[in-house]
Amino acid sequence: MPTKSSTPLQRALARHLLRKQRWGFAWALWTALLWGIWYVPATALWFETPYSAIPLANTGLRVAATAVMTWIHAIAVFGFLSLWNGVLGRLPDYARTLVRFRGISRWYALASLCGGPLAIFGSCLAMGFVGPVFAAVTSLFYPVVGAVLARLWYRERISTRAAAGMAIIILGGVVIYGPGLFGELDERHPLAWLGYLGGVMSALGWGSEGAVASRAMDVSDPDVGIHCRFSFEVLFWSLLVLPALAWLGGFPIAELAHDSLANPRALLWIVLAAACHAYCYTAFYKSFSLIGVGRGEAIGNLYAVFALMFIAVFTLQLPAWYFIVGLVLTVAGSFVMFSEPAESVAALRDPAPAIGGGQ
Amino acid sequence: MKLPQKGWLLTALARGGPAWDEELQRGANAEYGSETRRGAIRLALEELAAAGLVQHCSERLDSTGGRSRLSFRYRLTPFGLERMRDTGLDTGKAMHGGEAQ
Repeated sequence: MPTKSSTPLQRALARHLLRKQRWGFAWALWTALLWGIWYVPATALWFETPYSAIPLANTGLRVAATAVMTWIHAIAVFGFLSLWNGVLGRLPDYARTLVRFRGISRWYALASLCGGPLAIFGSCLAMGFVGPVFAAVTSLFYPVVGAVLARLWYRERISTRAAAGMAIIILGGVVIYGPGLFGELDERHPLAWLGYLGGVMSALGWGSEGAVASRAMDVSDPDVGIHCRFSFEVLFWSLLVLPALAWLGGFPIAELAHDSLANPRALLWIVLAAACHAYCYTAFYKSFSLIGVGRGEAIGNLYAVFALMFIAVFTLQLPAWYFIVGLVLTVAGSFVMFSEPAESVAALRDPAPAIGGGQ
Repeated sequence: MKLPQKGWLLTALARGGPAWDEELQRGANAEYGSETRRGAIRLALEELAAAGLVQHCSERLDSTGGRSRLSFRYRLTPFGLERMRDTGLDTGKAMHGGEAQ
């Protein structure tokens, strides 16, 4: 930090670094807040037709319904991102980025596979074959995957303080959701292993999405990047996943889509969820560029706190006492990360020359 | 088709060598017209610097109308040059002349 005797230039530099760090953390906090709000319309959607009419025991149909729901949701997110980039005047840059598939946008295509079908499908498996609490707990570990991949792939720096903050936030999330696991884990369930596999898939999917997208954002804008990522997600669901579920699985995809679109209340929840998700993801990608994948994802993990708070507000059901312990831990972990010197966030990667050409 | 704006900034530094943010802003204005906004180009340069593709080689404090503004001079790094090659961006004379330091 500059002292009183430092020059005006040194003081201006210190202020510049601090401002950049604060913007990065502010974007990550917006991610967590919007992600937390997203749970309200996303949960409410399951209480509307056609989803409410599907019995819990009919796992196959529930997975197919989730795929239809996610597809409509992705199209709505794409719409909101088009509006965002249209207002910012970035649509021409979006087109320029999208067409450079080999050099740039293929990474967004990969990110959409990691964060879309891999993570979401994994999370559905975890929810369906073990339980929703297990799915939530396993997802909390995605920042570890993201930080490790970013470190190995392009030498992203993670200071001891950032790593400690990340660990405390994850521990806080586990305290919030963990006790619920005792009523959920049932070793006798013959297909429980599918749920455990799904949990690993969701952590791997969301963690690797950050690292892969950040690789593409080296040469493209974050607002444009998230737009490209959702363009590919819409394509994957439309051309691969839904046709496969309809033709190979024999699920009534067209009927589910029609019933969802014909129910104004279901549509309203989807639009609200998509608005939260679009700007949550925009903030998420912006934070990666300023504070790195590891820090951005760890602060994004505060969604666990916001989700429970918003669900409590809307359902008027207070969370259990251990929520307070988890809240204290996650807030403490965030402060540990915020207290990192701005200078250490100024350069996110080690300057050593890269090995090989394909990183 | 024109390059994405971040790619253009890298290409400008590879071809023309180190440059002040003001110079890059003027170049971006000429290339993209009303699409570019002052804050967006400065933010893109800072994102490139944080990711290690470019680095500050000097800075200055300009005072105009009673307000001071921090400006940076940027240069491409070897990692930036490598990333340009990975992504199919034209590295210009830097590829041959070793502009990146």
